[in-house]
Amino acid sequence: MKVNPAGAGAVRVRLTAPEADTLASLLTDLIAALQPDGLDPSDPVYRRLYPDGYQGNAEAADAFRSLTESSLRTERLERAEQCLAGLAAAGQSANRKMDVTLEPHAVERWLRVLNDMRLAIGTRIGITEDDDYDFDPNDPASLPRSIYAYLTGVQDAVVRARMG
Amino acid sequence: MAGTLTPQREAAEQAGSDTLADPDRPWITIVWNDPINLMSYVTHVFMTVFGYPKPKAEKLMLDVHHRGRAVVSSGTRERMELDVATLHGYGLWATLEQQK
Repeated sequence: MKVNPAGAGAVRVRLTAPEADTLASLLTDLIAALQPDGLDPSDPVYRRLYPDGYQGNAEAADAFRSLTESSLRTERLERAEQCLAGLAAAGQSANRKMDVTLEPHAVERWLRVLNDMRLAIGTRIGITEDDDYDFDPNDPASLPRSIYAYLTGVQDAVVRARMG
Repeated sequence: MAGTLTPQREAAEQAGSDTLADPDRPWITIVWNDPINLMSYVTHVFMTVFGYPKPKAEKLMLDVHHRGRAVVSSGTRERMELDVATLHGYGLWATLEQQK
């Protein structure tokens, strides 16, 4: 993947076909998790995507959640669906590479969707701040960890290109 | 069972203090450190959501990173609930409380 500023907050991204396929697959997983019954409220991923708005005040936290959770889930779902549609609409060139220029609003959407994917995967695998990314192929989490590391690199590159 | 009584009592006290609290004390929005949100992204979110210039956004981000939390905005309770909901939409771990 190549990520470069394209002026006025836009970002130019060059993707290979396997990268586009991987992102589409991850977006599909995210869209499934964002369905009304996609995650159990006891799931740590659910707790991370919809955190308490108040600490040490369960009553206020519950009231806040009842006001905000549904719209939070809906806006996340819409963003993920728009990113998936954008990916499907971007044509491939003959060399199986895709060149996409993301306008500022699309950059913002992708940044937030990449973050949602990282929140979901990172929480699922229990990522820590000092993860050394030392991969053990016998570890069942080695593949999600490598996908998480890839998404981290992509998000950081996009936010830096966005800032120019 | 003893373990469940303490948080309930704390929550009741806190809820009670909401109604008795000095209405002039402002509410604050706090962002908490977490191992997933990137430093670059958090800076970008503070600039985008609050319109803070980059140096201020970076300072707040570093406060979150090094001290575990930072107060990112203050105002009415309603306004802070809006800020917290907006930050949750960006995936940041944010809460509101009345300033002590």
